[in-house]
Amino acid sequence: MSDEPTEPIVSEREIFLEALKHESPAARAAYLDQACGNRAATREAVETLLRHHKPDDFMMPKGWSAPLAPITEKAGDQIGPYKLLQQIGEGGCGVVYMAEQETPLRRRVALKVIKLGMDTRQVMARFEAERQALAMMDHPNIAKALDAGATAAGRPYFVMELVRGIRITDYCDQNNLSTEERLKLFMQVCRAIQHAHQKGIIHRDIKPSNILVTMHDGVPVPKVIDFGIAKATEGRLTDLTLFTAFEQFIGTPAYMSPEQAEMSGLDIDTRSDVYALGVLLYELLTGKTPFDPKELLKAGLDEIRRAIREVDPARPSTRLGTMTALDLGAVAKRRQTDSPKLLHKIRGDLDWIVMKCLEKDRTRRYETANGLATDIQRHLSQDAVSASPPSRMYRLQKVVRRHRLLFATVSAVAVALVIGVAVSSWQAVRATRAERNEHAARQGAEEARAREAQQRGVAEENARLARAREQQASELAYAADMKLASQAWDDGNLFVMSRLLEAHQPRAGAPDGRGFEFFYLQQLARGEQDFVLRGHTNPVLGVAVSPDGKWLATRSQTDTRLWDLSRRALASAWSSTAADWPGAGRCRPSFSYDSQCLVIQNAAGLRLARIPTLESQMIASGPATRAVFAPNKPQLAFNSDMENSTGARLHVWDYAADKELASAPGDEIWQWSPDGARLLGGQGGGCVYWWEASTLRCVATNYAAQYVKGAAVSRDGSRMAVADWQGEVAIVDTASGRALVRIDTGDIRPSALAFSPDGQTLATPSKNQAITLWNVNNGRRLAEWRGHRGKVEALAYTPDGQWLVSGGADAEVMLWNVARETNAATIPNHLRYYGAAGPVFSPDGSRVGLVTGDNGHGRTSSAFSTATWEAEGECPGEIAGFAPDGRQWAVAEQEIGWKFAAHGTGAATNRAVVYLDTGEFKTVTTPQLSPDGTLVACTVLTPERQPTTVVCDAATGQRTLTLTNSGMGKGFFPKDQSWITLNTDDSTIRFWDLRTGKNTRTLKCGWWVSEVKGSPDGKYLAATIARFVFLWDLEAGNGFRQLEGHQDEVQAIAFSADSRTLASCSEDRTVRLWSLSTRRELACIPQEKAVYWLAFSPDNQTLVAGGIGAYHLLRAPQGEPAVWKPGPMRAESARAIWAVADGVQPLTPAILAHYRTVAERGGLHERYVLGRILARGDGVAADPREAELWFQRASEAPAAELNDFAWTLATSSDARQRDARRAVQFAERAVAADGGANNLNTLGVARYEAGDFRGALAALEKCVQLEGQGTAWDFFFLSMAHARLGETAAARVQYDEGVRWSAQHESNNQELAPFRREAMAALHLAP
Amino acid sequence: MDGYAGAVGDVTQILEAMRAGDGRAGDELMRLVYEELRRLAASKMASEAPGNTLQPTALVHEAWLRLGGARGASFNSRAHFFSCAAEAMRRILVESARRKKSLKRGAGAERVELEERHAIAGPPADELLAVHAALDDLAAKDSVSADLVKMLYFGGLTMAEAAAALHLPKRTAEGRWTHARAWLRRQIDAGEK
Repeated sequence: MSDEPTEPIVSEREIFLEALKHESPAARAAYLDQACGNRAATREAVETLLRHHKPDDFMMPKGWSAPLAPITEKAGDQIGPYKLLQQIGEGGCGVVYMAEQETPLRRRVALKVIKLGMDTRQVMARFEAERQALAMMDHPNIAKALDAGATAAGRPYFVMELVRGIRITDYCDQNNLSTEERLKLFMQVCRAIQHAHQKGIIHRDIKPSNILVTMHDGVPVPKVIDFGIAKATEGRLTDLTLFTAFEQFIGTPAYMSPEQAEMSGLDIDTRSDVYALGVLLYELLTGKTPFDPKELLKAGLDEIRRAIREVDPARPSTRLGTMTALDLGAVAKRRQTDSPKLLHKIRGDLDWIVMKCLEKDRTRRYETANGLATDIQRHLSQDAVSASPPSRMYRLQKVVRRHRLLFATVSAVAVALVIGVAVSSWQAVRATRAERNEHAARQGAEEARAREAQQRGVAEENARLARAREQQASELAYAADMKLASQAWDDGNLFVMSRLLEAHQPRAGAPDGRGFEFFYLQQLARGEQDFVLRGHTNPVLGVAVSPDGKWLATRSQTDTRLWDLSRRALASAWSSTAADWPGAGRCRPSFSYDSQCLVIQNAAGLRLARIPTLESQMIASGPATRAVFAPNKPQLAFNSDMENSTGARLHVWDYAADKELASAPGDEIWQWSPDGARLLGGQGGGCVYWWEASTLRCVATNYAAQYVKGAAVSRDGSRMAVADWQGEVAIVDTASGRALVRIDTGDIRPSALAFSPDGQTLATPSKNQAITLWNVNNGRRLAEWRGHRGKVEALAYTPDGQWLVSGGADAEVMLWNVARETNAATIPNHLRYYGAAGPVFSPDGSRVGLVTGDNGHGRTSSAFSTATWEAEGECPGEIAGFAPDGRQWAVAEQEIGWKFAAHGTGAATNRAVVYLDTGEFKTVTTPQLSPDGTLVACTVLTPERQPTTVVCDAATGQRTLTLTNSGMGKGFFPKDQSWITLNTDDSTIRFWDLRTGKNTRTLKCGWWVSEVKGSPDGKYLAATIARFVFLWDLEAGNGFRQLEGHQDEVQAIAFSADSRTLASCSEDRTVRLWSLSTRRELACIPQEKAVYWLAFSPDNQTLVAGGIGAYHLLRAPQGEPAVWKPGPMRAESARAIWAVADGVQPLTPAILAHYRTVAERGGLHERYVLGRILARGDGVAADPREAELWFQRASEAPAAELNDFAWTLATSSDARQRDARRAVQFAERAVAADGGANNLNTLGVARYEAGDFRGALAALEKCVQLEGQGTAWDFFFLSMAHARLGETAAARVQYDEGVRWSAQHESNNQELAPFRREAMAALHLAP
Repeated sequence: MDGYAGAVGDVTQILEAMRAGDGRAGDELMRLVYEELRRLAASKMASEAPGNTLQPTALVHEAWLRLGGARGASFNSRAHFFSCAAEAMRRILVESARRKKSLKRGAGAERVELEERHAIAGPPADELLAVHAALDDLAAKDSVSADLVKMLYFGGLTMAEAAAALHLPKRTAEGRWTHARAWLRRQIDAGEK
């Protein structure tokens, strides 16, 4: 036994590891002797291994992730000229010391050492770049930035004025500052930030810990610290960049603006600071930040960014309102007040001031910190503030602003027609100064190119350019209008949408610029209604369905109509005079309980019409405004004399006995209680009342709402819905008067409400012209229906609850099937994740192949006929392509290597299996059939993991070509059948000729490209990178452009068949369409889920957008006539509106009456238009006094709106729109409210246009003075005014000034060009 | 996030299929994880400020969460996933290293600028490519150690995670790692001579 080795045979590894335990060479040798015995090879191997075992950083991760050495500096250390005295603070990003500077002067400073690892040299360089500007800041509320440098350990440090103070929020709370005191302190902060902004410094990291309050002679002085640091460190102290530093940014994301959350790093400006100031104000007012930082962090990094970018925070008062009584009490106490008073104080102005700062779109924030401070000052002195709740027009305007340049250059832009029937709203097109400058900066590169072209000065070239520009302008106009139309659809404004589309119907002799998006939007613009009943010529204000469900009554200002509902045919009509009877607008039809009677109101009185004989019976003479039948007995309640000075009266009438049962003074009645015992009613300005029907005694006032605009009671009487003037509908428990649910309908003053018969659903008007259905139990939105092209004025359910009837300001009555299928155009799939082949259309468009099934082991595909959208066959594998005639389709299946099976489209059995010869390699992509059906290409990975293309004959599977290290295959280029690959090793996209194996084209791209597609015409190549699409114009060959808009990863792209449109889809749950010629976004189509696959049909009339669960078919049928012809009233009104400008069309009294309603409800535009109509008096007697009244009321609009409008009136390129006198009036009002440079400029221009040259000079000079510098907008008009006054020398000076300014700032500004030409003409200069 | 996870489907189902002995499920998982990591890295890159780097370990862990792995995945599934993710990460890092090297060989300033946005914090390119090449040799001799290296070196897993994934006691895993380092270095040296 003793001769045998006692140990088991141990492996090389075990000997090696054991040997390591013996540290001395002798012990190790002894061990090896024993362990290896006579196995020399093993011994040799282990000894080499031991030699290669070194404790260095080979394969050790510490070399690459650069962990941070702890800060070792401590009190007493010397850093440059500074001696550290004591640590006074520590945050996530650094440690702050009090330090003493010894040379050149002795002083105490604060020194901040930065913790996070970053390139110190770069930090220093960035600080140096700003050092001068920082030195120029001199403000009592700013701690001076003094110095920056690097510690011995190589960490950056910053030195600044020492501030001994506490955070502004802590100071306010510790001293129980009242809201006013807080505001005053905050205004000082604004002024400090403004000062910095004027010196060109953006803080970028405003938060309470960077605003310290110190006491000077007992007066609190806020000091803003840390200027220059965020910039120097590129915001990395606050950003969310390092995963490992997760906990280090607690507290800061709450103050981050949406553009900072984007983290593009490029696009931060002063308005980011305004945002942060808004957050600070929010916190000072409520004690909370708009987003709870802890909640944010819980949700994860991406969610933080998303929330900051997309979620609208609650208004401060709303936030306070949601606190517990205890918390709110504490917050109020710290502000020396009580809860109700605090709420009252914050609600309104302060809410809007804060929310204006927090706008996601920074162009809607205060432009400057001063603007913010001024508004707060106005609030404190109880003046009107400029911030206001968002208006209906906002979204539309937002788009218009974005395209303002284009609106100015292209005259053929559709006018947006907005409210009610038709009121033109001329879009203000001028950019504010700040926007101009921003715009100029962005266009810098293009302008340089344009200048170059000018210098070349070749006339020919210019002519060609002019043509190209004209073409481009019309393409831009088209792109902008499609985007507006898509936006209008989202806003539920089909009227605007239809007008925008009409403007692009092809005209004789002009090229047809329409693409997929046009026909897609045109299809949408048809509306979602099931039936339309036409015939009314005025807005439909009331609809009612008879209790037996057979009859429908509809009522407009001018007539009442009775329809046979089952046939949807008109049964009878009664006319009423309209315009001379102000109460007409409130009339609603009503049916008696037995469906035997209909009530008809007109100026002459109230009549009953018997159904179906139509015999009528007079109930009361004189105007009646409301009349409602009892639900269970022959009684009618009605109002008379609503407009009479003695007040309204309420009557209950027994029409069987033809006698009055009761009469009393009372407000407007709305409905009977279901038992017929009580009447529900109220007063426009006040409360909701119940009256006892038999006595008309007011029995209960159990729910109070402000400015009630409408109400409805459920059929069982248990609940009522009450709408207020702000669009909020309360679902109220009838017995207790308690509001159960509150719904924000989004509509201004919703007057039409309807409960479904089961009482579970409430229908209301919503956003613009849509109808929304709400679940009354929880206030959730159930559906939104679009179809009307005017505001929805009336709603009623049929008694069986199957249909909803609506009447609109577009004079149309629509029927909606309640049980409608939401989206019929879908094909379900059973995919569970995104990695599958996308849809493939056969070349002739007759079929589409879709991957539809997935059982975890393999997928199945189906071919669908595009005529019927029914499946024609299904088989295992992923769709790979179609034969050119569409009759055979191929699927690829991974079995042993890849199997490639061709199928007849009719039957899955008809298959010819081809095994692809991919050799020993493993494929990594689905094989693809070339467009001509002869080749199959796929990518394999060699053992070296080099992606390699293998090409096989489609018929035999024989390999014809191997392209080693070609990169990953991304598909065929449609034009010439090139194979496109993505090579990640050198970041290129390559084109290959698969017959010869030649690399025919190479494009540089980023490494992270996912998808690559070529356009059918061969002109474009597009690639997706994260949330961007890169687009190459292969013919122009001038690199790629970036299409930006998606909020998340782009998953797929597709070119339309006409190569005009690119579609992209993303996990942000949208499909976006882009114009290839202008690279503008044309439309954004929201989807319910993330979209992973896209394909256009060859006829360009269908876009398949697929996600997990279903493929959606977006249809764009072509060649159909214009979707919408204006009804008689609309045509009349539209003409009348234009009559204002044209002076041709006479007005009728009826239209004028309607305009008054519209102007009453509307704003600046509507009132101005009415004023203009009355001033001229087309067809009706002119009434200058009333006109003046409307102009006066128009000028009550906010300053910014007045300014924009005045500018349009003064300078519009359409002479018919010009009205210089009124422009002066509006501009003066704007200047009175806000004497900023922009408003002054407008005033000067308006005065000039009105012929008041001296006045123009005064305003413009003041404007130049105010800013310390003028712009070309000032100089050219100064020049013209001087010229008109004969002061040629002065005119010349100003002109030159303007030219110089333009060359520096806006050399290519199309808006400016006409003014320059005008100034030249005034000076008699040759162009 | 729930919308996303729902859309991607449950990676654990594939993992279960794999455990049930379905060989193709492994390829499927590989393809899925590779795509996911690339996409994830791409979207991170696009939103990071230029010059920042990504940590492989963060990527792998986030991929795990995004693919729905957090919801009741069995322990074995988790191990499979990390093994797979390490292999995918290896491919991504190798691509990145090759790219870095090709850039050094002379690329225009424009390209460098474009590429600088896309850095992953990883080992030095030369070392990484050398280890990548030698690792296949190690795998031929000792696949467990090779898997361990993959997880630690490419996948950025901690020793404890990698050991658990491979069902090894932590001490044993540490020994294997020490040995594998020396072994790989020996192999690389031999290759260079």
